[in-house]
Amino acid sequence: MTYTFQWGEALKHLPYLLEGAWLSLILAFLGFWGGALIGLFGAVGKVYGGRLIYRIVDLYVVFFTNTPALVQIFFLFYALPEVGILLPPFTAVLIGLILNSGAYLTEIQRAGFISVRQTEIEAAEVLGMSLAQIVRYVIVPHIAKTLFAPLSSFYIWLVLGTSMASIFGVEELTGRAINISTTNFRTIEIFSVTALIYIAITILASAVLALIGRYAFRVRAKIF
Amino acid sequence: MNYTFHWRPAFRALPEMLAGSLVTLQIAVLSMVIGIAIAVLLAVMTGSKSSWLRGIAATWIEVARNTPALFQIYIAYFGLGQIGIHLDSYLALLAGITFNNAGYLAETFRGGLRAVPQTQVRAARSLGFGPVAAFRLIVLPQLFRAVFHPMTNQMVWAILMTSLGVVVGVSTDLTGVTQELNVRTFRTFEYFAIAAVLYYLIAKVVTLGARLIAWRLFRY
Repeated sequence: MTYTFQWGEALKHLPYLLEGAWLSLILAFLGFWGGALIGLFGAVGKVYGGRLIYRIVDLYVVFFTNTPALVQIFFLFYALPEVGILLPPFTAVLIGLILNSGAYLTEIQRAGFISVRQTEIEAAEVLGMSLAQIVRYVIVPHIAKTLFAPLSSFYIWLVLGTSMASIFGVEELTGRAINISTTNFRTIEIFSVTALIYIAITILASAVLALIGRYAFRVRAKIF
Repeated sequence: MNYTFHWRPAFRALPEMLAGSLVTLQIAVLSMVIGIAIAVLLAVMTGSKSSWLRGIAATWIEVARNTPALFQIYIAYFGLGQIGIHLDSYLALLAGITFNNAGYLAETFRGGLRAVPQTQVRAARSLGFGPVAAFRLIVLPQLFRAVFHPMTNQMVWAILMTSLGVVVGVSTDLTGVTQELNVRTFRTFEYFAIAAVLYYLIAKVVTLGARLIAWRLFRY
């Protein structure tokens, strides 16, 4: 244990690391909304679709939630070129994350659709609301309220999942931390700083999500 | 699109891949068992009177839940090596996943502990149970009953997380074996397809096993 810490070495690279953190956030953001779109179709198909559609969507969900995201991205990145589809690393990772999060978000959103009570809709109809009004004032607020907590924790989870991009040569936060530590060997310092950045961006993201939840959907979301 | 599929050599490698699946399962089970033990400790520590113990538990949970598992494995492999703790890649992977599991499970258990009414502990104490006996015989069984389902989820997570071992050079688990076969033969498509199916099967078997255990223990 004769290790002398040299924090200056790590702090010197802070801007470089923060740029990586920004890339992580962008990846997570795109992955989340892409996945949410797939999830929306998946959930609608699962709840309102027929037996066949239910089966197909279920197959997709079960398969993508029970295999590692890493293997899925490996597949996109290394196997697809063999059949002639060559994806750049960023795109491969992004598509992998979207497909993966689409499966999880299908299940999350399905729970939201199921939670809407038929009686509430009937009551709204009796009160003379149009379909648009029912969706706007009854269904959406209800779904938003039930889904807010699982969606925001999934988003945090996705931010952490973007670290897998580093394996495929996308230089986001983890990739950059590895880059620096292999050039100056101040592994502990660099990794500690990186861990703090990760904690900071996830706490920041959950704080922002909690604020959005509180003002847009009137969810009693706690920041800590 | 002039790729000819060669499934036969891929299927010939199936025994190797099944052996890899066993290693994957082994790592996942070990990390869960150790992780659960640590998580119970952490969950109890979060409710302790000493601010030191609370601080340690809170730090562990925050770091485990707010940094990527991949990153934690990197730390176990490269970071610990720097201060003289040299773990081989298998142990580094195990340590990383266990750390992650313990953090997530501790948070689950903290919720589970709240589901056990304090009055029961007081009742047990007044009947002459010691503090340890009351915890072991009254609180723990109810805790595990409450958190069994999230625990199963975490187990599936642990299986999926083992695939990250390939980045620190674990070559015996399913992803490692697949990657090696892939490098040797370039039948990428076939091998990764088989690997995906195997992962799916492992996860399915574990979920079914968990349901069986739950039925046997808790009758639901």
